[in-house]
Amino acid sequence: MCPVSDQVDRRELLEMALRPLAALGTATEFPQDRAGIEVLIARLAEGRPSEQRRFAYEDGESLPRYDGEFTTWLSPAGDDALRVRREHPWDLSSVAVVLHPDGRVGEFEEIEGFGVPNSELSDQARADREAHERRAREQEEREQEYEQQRVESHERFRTGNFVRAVAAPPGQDPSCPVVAYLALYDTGVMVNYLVPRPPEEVLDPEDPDDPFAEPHMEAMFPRMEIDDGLGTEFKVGEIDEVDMNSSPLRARVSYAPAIPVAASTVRVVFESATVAIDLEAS
Amino acid sequence: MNPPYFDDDHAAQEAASILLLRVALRLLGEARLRGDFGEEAELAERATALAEELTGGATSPDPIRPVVEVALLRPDRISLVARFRENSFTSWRLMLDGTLYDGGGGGSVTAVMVDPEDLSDEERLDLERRQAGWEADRARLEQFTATRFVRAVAAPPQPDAAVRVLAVLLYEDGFYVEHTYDKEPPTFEPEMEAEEFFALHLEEKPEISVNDDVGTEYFESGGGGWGGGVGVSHSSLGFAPAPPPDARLLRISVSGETVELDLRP
Repeated sequence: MCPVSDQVDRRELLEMALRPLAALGTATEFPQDRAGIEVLIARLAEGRPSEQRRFAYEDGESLPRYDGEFTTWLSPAGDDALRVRREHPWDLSSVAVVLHPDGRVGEFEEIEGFGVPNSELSDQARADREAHERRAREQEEREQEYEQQRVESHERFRTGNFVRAVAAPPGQDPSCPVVAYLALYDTGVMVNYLVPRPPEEVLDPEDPDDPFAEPHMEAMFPRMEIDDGLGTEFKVGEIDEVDMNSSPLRARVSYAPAIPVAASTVRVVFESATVAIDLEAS
Repeated sequence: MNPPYFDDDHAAQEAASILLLRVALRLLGEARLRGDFGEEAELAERATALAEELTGGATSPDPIRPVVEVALLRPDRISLVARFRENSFTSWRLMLDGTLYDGGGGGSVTAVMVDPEDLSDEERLDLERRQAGWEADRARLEQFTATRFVRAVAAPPQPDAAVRVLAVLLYEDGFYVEHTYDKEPPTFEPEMEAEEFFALHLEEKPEISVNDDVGTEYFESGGGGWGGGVGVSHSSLGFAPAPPPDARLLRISVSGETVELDLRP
């Protein structure tokens, strides 16, 4: 195994271990039975939005489970401690550590597969392994589809597909989002616009109450839709922070499919303003 | 296969993160019983003691910073920083409910102050000349503030150009030239050093110059942005001043191709 990957796995395990420790509150010991551990799991903080957050009980005596969900498994470890094990579903391995109520952790325990020869696998372990193999096969089968989607997304807005740019009308209300221009492609459309910059104390508070709020993103990407008057359903492809330091902020959102040739106007609809762009004017 | 930045430095950073998290767990183990992280001074002292215990008293990789530093943000929040090289660190913030946030890493630069009195006459003159140059460059760079948008002007089609000008965004004190060009997706060579990788993939930005039909001298100002995706760049470059009211044509030259934009409303 790659030593850096091992370190990453261990680091991620310790990141997960913080939450059951915090959920212990003022208790002096970790519960040592299923009911107590499940109560602890129900009290866990949600964690940060990007984090895999599934925790589950295991008894610690049966063979390790792999449910393919990046689950962190909690089991009694004796001496008031908790065993915390994190599975790596892509290679059927896991890393575990014993966590004490004072925050001390023991040595890392690396577990390859189920830790026993195949002949000793339980029914549950065989089922988990078969599910893992099935997921791997499905992943392989979808590889070509993923590759095709990847290429399409990389090539959608290359210059060969560019048709023309269309300026939005001048004189829009600068207190609302202002559309600057559309870039029309054979494969989609890019809406380039400006939005008023919120005050710095909103954009970058010293110690925000909600550390996961994203005021820059909320300001740059207000709810918006485009309407070509022909009923085409546009899907957002990419969002791009063109300039998050400027005032007004500049941003870009791309959509697919392309604006049909028959369309004469595109309306960009924000909650606070609608901008109609005449495609035949330029 | 790992991209080049997954090297020894990354391993050292991960090791520092693990140490940071071990300290965080111990501090959290004490704080949860109290209901808060305690007083700032005691917290910092406790973090130092824990880092020493957990590393066996190893010296910090940064000669002027302790291996782990902890600061109180609020009674229920702390920040933790662990050093893994001189001037390099990894950091997290931790809430009393065990949630980590604002994780990151980076480096810092140590500046050396030089007393102008210690310089020779020649060195002092050279410094003054360079400072005057920096001031002039900065004044030009800051001239275009991009605060008052006026309107956009779409560029005519340039089907054969490698770099296509899309539009110009006119502001009261300057303008952005919006342009796009294709680029090759980056490749990862397993044997490549990080410096080689970044040198190879350093994007060569097209040189853009602008003039008009009334002889205005335009210069780069206000910065720009280089975005887009893996195989294409969608970029903008700022210029000052704004075209005067009597200018009717803006000529933008990129890589030997010139496109003319009609400025008339």
